[in-house]
Amino acid sequence: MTGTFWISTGKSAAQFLLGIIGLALITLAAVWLHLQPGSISLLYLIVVVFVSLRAGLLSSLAVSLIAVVCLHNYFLPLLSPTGTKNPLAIVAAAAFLTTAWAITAMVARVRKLTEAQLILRFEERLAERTRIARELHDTLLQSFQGLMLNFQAVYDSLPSGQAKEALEKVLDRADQAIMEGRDAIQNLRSSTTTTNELAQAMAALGEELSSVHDGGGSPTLRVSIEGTPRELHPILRDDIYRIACEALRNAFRHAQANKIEADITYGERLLRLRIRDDGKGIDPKLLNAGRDGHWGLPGMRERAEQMGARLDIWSEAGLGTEVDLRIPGTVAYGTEGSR
Amino acid sequence: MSTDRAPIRILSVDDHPLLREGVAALLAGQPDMTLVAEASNGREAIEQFRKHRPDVTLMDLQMPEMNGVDAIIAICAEFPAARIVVLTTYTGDVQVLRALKAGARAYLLKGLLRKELLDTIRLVHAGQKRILPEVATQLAEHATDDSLSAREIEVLRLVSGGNANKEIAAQLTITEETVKGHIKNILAKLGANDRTHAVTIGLKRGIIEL
Repeated sequence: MTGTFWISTGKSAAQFLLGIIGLALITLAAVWLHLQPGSISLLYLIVVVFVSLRAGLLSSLAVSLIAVVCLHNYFLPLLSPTGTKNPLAIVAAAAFLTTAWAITAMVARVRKLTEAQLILRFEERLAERTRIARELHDTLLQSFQGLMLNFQAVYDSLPSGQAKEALEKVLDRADQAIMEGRDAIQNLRSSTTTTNELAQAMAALGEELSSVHDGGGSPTLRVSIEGTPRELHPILRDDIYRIACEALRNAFRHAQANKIEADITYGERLLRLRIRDDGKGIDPKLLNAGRDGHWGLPGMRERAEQMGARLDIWSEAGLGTEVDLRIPGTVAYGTEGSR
Repeated sequence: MSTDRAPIRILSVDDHPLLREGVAALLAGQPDMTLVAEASNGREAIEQFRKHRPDVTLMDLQMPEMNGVDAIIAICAEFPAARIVVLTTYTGDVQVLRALKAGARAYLLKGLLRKELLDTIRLVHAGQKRILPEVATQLAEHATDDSLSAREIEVLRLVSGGNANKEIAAQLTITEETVKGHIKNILAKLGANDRTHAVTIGLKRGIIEL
């Protein structure tokens, strides 16, 4: 955490100010009510923890220092005659500071750990994909390419005739299959969406889906964005996109809908994706049981759970379906989210 | 086929045994060609080249110990008349350019070897160069693009390995700000939307390898 952390963010500054006001109110109330220093320092601690949760480490350090000054100047003199130095005062101040900082550091640590864990999970999956791609490239693909040359040698040695012609066709097909395999391996490394703009990717998918829709009667898709689109981690973006794909496919293929609406909201604390259609709805039994192989509901739920998001699917016969995906901002925008 | 002349002497370089086996089988059926040696990496290729002085060398690019481009550079420096055909899995204008600049006379895709290898060996042996149309198209497409600097390629390679900016900075002993600057340049030069897109383009164009 750097010095610019709480200065640069207006939100943190506001939380910091709130903390200071809290301290002032507690101090005033304590003077008014003649509270004991012990209970006052407890109240101060609560404020410090609040600030550390909302505004970060530096702000809470500043607030706790101010709290010590208040404690020292207003309350400890009550215990000892004015003008004399009370060694108890120094001990009390030190104890308060230690407690406040220990709590603050613990909060910061837990926070950092959860964020680091999420990022690690993304990176691990990316690394895993790379490993699979490399392995397939180094083994399967090379072997097949070598075998094709062996086949060609056999082909060359065959006398012309029906068998040779048939083999030629097979070899051509095999060439194609290997080419497809090669491209698939290359794509393992790349994201499904090459654009970071989810809305664009979804609109493109909608176009594709409506073009394969038989004849007329294809539902219309309207995609809208609220808030400023923000950078998402590629793996997370893939996951969101795949959930959106599934929802859109269901709406296009099974729902017999006229209208499909997709809303993406880039909120401060929440990235939200809602896809609604006015189709026939999903059978409630299916919705709850999530039968395999149809609608892809279990897959959507699994993906959502894996990325730490919440997925709600609402549906009623004849009234349509709504898929609501909510991803916490800390997960969606990563550690540097509070820019 | 001119059988009256001495057969074309060939060196086959690939780290994958099944691929070398396939090449050997294909060449065995050709009376005008003979396979004189094989090698499984760049270093062995140089040794075998010195020993056998082949007419045509078939060279894979991605190999352990010493890669194909480095081997081509070394061989061409010592034997400027060397005729080398590159065999590789992917097209990518940058990788093709690297190989051609190093001194390769032809660039073949492994997926097309079956039909193209023998003709290409004969053409290159006769002193011609050969680049397949699909490879040439890629070359033309990016002919006027800004190329990445050596440092930018290094950064892109680390990005493709799943490293965060901080880790890249640590590995290259530069600041995180500098890494960010490099990445900005990379995105601009490749016309990429983000890091993942840049890696995808880098792989497609052969700037970095899988």
